[in-house]
Amino acid sequence: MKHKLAYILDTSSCITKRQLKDYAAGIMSVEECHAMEHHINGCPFCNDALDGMLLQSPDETLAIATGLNGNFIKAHFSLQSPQIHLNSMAPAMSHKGKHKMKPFWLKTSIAAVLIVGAVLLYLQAGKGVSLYPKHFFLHQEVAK
Amino acid sequence: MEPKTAAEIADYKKLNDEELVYRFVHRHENIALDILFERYGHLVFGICLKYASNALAAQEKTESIFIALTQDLKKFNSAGFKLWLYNYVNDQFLNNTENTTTLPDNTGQNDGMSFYHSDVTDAELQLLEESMITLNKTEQDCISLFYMSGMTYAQIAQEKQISASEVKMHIRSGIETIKNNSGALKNVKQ
Repeated sequence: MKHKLAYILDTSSCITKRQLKDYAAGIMSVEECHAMEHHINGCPFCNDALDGMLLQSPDETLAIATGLNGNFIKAHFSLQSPQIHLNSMAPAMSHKGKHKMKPFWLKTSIAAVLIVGAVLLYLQAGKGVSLYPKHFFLHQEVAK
Repeated sequence: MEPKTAAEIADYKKLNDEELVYRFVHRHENIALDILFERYGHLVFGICLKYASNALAAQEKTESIFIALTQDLKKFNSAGFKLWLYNYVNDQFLNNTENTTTLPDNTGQNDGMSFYHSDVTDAELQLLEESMITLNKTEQDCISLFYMSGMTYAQIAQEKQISASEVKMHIRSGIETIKNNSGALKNVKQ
């Protein structure tokens, strides 16, 4: 019989949420109750938690203990690094009055032609070569 | 990369506390903190109930403690997370930033997640019996009824005509004395 005294040195896992609630509500079997108290004898963490549960009004405490979950942790992390949905932030486009954009290549090619033309004119003027055909000047002299 | 399937989450539940802390701090796996909340959230809530005016305030404090842990877990560098968390929670109420709270030596023995019996030699058992004699009558009775007869606090309270909290107090103080005395006796005999 005295060998049972050695149970003082036994260790066990911490009490679960269900055990904490059942004990506080007084709906635990005698065997489980004894096993839990056995753990409490050597664990200040569980002992203090149980003391706290028994201090407050049981109805409110049990209701809140039941609803305890880690959703607030997820909410905290989502606030810290919010996921930006660019599509949802863009202004909604109406399908009826669709704004037709001019193609980009059109503007680019017009600009390119103008630049090339300007360069050619500049080069021709630099060499002293007329852009007009010779018979054009002949007609002008005859007219004079 | 956060786990998505139930199987992946179940794998996390198999990890010990220290591994979960490591994964949260160094690998930024937020699921690890969820698992730690699952393991200890209700116990932290229970301690908060001791200090808070009502259950709602205790719930808010519990949540604020776990939010603070997202930063303060980086300071964790000891072997036993449970003991560290116990001190941390109490320090939140004592407004003490340094972990100076001390616990009885037996706390560290309960870090395992499974129930097991300690290997006690005949000599150690003899020391425990000798230590029992040093207890007062109520402590002896409460410990005998609890450990040898397998009675609960409530049953002992009924038999001894005292409250269940008094039974618990006597048992806890008795165990503390036994452990201290048996340790001292062991040293003397060596």
